[in-house]
Amino acid sequence: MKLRIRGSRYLFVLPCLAVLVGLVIYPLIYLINMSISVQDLTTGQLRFAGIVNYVRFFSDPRLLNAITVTVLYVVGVVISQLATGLVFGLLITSLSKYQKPVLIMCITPVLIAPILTGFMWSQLLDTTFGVINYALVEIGLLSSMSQIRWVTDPVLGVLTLLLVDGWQWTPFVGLICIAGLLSVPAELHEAADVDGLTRWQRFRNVTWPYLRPIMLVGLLFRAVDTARNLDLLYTLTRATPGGGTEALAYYIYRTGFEYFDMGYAAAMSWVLIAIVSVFTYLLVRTVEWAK
Amino acid sequence: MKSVNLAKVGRYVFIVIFVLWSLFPIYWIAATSLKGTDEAIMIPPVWFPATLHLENYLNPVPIQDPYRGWTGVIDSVICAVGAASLALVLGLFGAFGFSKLNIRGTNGFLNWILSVRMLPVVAVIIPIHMLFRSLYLVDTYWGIWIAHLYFNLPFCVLMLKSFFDAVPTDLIESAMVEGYSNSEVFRKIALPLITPGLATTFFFSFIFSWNEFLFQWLLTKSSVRAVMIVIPNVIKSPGTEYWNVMSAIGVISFVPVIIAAIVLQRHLVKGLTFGVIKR
Repeated sequence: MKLRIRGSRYLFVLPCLAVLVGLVIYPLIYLINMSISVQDLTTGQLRFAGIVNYVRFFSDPRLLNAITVTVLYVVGVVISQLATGLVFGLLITSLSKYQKPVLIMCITPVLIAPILTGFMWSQLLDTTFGVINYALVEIGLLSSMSQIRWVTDPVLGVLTLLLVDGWQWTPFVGLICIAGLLSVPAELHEAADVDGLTRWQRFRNVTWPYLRPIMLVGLLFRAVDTARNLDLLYTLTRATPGGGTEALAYYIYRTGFEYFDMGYAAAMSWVLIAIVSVFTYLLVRTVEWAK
Repeated sequence: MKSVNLAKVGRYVFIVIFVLWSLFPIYWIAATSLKGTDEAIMIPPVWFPATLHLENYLNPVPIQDPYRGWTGVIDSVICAVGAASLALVLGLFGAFGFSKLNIRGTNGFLNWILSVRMLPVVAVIIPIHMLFRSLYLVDTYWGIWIAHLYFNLPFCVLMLKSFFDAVPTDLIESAMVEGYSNSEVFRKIALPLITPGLATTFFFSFIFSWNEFLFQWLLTKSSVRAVMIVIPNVIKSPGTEYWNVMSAIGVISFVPVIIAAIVLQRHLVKGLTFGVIKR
């Protein structure tokens, strides 16, 4: 005789949901509480302060800068990695031999910790000892090693970020493209052959409809990760305060853990959460969970 | 005919450039890790170290950090294995439930779980820091294991669900008709079928934990010291530019990741999109 508990299936999902709810609800409530408080410097106690922290947004050019940097960074990543990833995917799938070894070599950067990626590239791009500027001097493009300041230059900084981020993540977007390219049914390609479509027509009408939804998911993943990225910046540019690579996540980190201005950091966290939520919402709308 | 060949050559050139571009930084850090301290910052740069300074790997002394040689690696392993195991166990049941047990509102729950995975760590780290301090979880393995649930638990639920989805529903239903209870179906039928998926999920969680920065950076002090936070810690205090030793630490901390990249290669898209893109 077996004991059947009604609703026992809910016991399966309950533990993980309970843990997640706890992990999310507590910090977010605390975050609200902190964002409407100021910390008393002598006692360390939180004191209610209303919307003071939020009002500060409007007189803080550094926040505006941080948001701009974040948006530029996200838009740059999405556009550049869409393009390079697609080229990568098309190139790899066109290979008749050695697809696998080439893929393995190219995807290695994907799993390397962003912290390390930043360290690696800051060595390569160093203005005193870096091999890249050395090479540029050797071939005559630069007159001195310190002529191009890859990471500290206010304008170049974001481009350098895009370059390094692209080094790490283009293969990921490329892999997603490959998944999309392979999801086109073979019959459609045959039909296209029969109809004598040009290569562009074939890409536009046969491949793209299958590629688009998958790439959209991939790029939304990239957008979220870029918007909240801090690790890479921490070791690559070490963002000058208020400078061209101080993205919002970094500014929040600094405010909270270097200036110990927890209330303001908490208030700004909501801006970051809002930005990330936009992409997450789009992602959730795109995803179809299998039944 | 000629133009076709030209296109082909161009394609190969692009691919070779791409491979070199991807591998060069990795080669460079590996080479630097074997150089002497002066050699590492020499102009012109040294392409191949003259003698292999393996001692960089054994004795990272010049670095002012509570980094105690290889114990950092051991700490990282403990953190990552513990965090991945905890998330796997919790996630396993949830994943089975959402995949096979017709939980009401499954889609909504899954969407919510995905959005938890997307939460910016920097936004929750301040409250978590406060909470963990009052619970004495700062600087403990448990602290890291719990904190890493933020990304590992949603990942495990979604990833494992995609593996459970591949188990035929007929199989589950006929077992239920036979009188199997939910937990028997789970233990005797579904679980054995997804063992490879279990390993894949574990590896990915391990990598996510291993590579994680902010929690390990802010929630540990001296008794837990992951290898991933050594480099930022050295960078924080400028003037100590021991590139060779730091590179050695870098290599130590990405060797497991590169091995995993080769092992997990086939599942990379699936893993990095948390099972959303299935392939």
